[in-house]
Amino acid sequence: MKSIFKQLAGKPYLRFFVVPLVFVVGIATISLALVNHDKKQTMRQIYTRGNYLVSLIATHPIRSLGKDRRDIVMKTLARFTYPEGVAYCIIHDAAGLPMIVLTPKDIAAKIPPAVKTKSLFAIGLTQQKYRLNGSQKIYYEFATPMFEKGQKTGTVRLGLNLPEAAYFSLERTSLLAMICFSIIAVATFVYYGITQVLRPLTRIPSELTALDDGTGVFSEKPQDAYRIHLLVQKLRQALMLLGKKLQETESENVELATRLGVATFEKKQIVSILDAIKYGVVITDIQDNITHVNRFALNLMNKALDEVVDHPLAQALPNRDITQFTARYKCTQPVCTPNQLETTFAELAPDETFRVTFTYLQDDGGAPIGKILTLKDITQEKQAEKTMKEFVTQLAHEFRTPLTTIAAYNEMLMDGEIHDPEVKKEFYNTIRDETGRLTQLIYNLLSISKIEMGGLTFNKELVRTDWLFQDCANAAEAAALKKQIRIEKLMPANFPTLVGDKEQLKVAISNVLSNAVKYTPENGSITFALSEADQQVIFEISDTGYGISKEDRPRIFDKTFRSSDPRIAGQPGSGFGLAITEAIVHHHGGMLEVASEPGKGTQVIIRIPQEAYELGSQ
Amino acid sequence: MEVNKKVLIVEDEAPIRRVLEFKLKNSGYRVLVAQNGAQGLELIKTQQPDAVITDIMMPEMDGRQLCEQSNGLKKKRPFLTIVVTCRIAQDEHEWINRMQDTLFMEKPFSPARLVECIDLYLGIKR
Repeated sequence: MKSIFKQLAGKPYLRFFVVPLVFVVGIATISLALVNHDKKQTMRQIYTRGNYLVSLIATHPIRSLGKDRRDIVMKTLARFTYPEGVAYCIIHDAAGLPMIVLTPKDIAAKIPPAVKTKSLFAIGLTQQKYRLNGSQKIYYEFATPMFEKGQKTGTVRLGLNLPEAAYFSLERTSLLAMICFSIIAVATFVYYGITQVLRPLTRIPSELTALDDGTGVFSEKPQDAYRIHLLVQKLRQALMLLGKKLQETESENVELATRLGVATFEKKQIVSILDAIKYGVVITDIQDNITHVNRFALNLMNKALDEVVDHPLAQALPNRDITQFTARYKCTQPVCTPNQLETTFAELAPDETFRVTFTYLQDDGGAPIGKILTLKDITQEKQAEKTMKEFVTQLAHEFRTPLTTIAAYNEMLMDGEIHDPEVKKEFYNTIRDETGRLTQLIYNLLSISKIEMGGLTFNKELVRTDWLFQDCANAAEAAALKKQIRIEKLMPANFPTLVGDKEQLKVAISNVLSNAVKYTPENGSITFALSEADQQVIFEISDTGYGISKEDRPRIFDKTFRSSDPRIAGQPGSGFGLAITEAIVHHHGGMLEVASEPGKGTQVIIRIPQEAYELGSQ
Repeated sequence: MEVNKKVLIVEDEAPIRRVLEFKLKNSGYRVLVAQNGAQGLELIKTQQPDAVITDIMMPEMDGRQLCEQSNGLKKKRPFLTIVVTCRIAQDEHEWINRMQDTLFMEKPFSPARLVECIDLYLGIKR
């Protein structure tokens, strides 16, 4: 195409032939298109009107009218609908015989029989296009059967002819002329405009230096040369600006890339920190869809990060408390101080309690843009709290019971209600015993406190184990007698000696013996044995008591622990006993062994080294 | 002064049991004694006491269980229950308030005051 234009540009005389030729062909094409369009329009009209007219006649009770009137109606109808186009109208009865025949010209006989047959036997609206016998004129026949009460009563046939299409009617010629004029006007205008705009450019010299010489074609027109000079200067400035802008953009790109790198690095660091902490952290947007979850929380959810990001919080962390909380603190709430609740995740970790803290994420303007949930596992805290509560309750019970006894007995004595001297003596003895119990309790409490604080001191002395054994046995026997528990004492012929603190060792052994008496039912028995082996003195205390259950076994040395077994819990005691014994034995470099079988009894073995142990404060 | 009323003492601590028994007998009551909740419940059913004094922390069956299980029997034949305990937690008050004819007395308590309460409930004038 380009080459053709080049050729045309090179040979100006060819323009005089080619341009008009193209013009004429264009006009002819438009003219044909218009004719074709008109034809289609006319045919559409014929079909529309034919269908309409034949349906109109078929639906009107024309058969019941008189002949004259029928003619008038038909003619009027035909003229009204399509004055020039109706060629004929024939109404047949049910048998196919013509009942009414309206033909402006005598053309009924020239209709091809096949057309008539098809129309008469059609069951619905038919349209046929045909030529009359002996004529080139095209006709259109529209036919439809008539029905009355479901019975066919006849057929209406209507013939329409296509009016002659005049190729060069007055209207079409004027339209064509108008189009031609418009095209020429537009083409001229465009051509002139382009020529005016491009004229200076066509004269730009191939080398800009030519301008400086003041020679060449431009010297003849100094105004043009000046304009071109300005244009070139502006172009240069534009190019320089463009270059500068490009450089700026490149440096901005570098800066942005650096910032992105720093931000990515910082993000990774933050994610690492979040993953390292022992709290669960869940970050959501303001619609409560998750944006980040740290490792702790992912472990709780038992999911990967991809599985939870962009998912609703309620789906990843199903919990009614949290859902209610987040609903209550929707973004209508102003940015508020952290709020927290304690809850468990029944589906994820039913045995663990978490403290969930809510904080709003804010943008620079302080508007909430998301939420941060931190989850702290407080199961151990809660357990410790519960244990401490039980311990305090137990301790209160242990203090108040002897106090109650002392107060009640004292009141009775003071009120002078007791006259029998024997009963009086019994009451005084009880007050003494209970006071002793209270004193022992306070002593134990102080001991355990000293052990914990590191203030327990030991005296280093030579201890005769026969005295130690006898003292401990005597203290236990008094209590055992009340419960009719027999204490069997097994001791060697020659008692060994050891280096240690006699009083503390007495406390340690007595605690075990006291426990044996307390937790052995009436009429049971206790064996208290002393032996020597491997330079150790061994105290062995066995009973036929309730024993220690498997659940309680790991916690018997815990100072705050008391068994939940009602037979054990019902006995007075602080729960400190074994904790104190263990501490004393360990400070003597000894060992404490406990073996027990629930329902059968418990065996406690205390091994204390005979010598070579440096005792002192802890 | 002899009072033809039965009072049941349910207490695992022997000295407290002893002093209550002494005081109540001195006040003319017939006294029944149980060492734990299970024994106490059995005596409530068989001996039908007019008043029950019970501790809470006891082996076998504790005082709360005893109160809850004997509360149903009060509809047919009401009797006074005095709970003596050192546990003063809020939940203790709540369940005691739900029980019929049940009082709460904190340890250490006065035996004379205890007898006054029982006298008042049973309508005994001295």
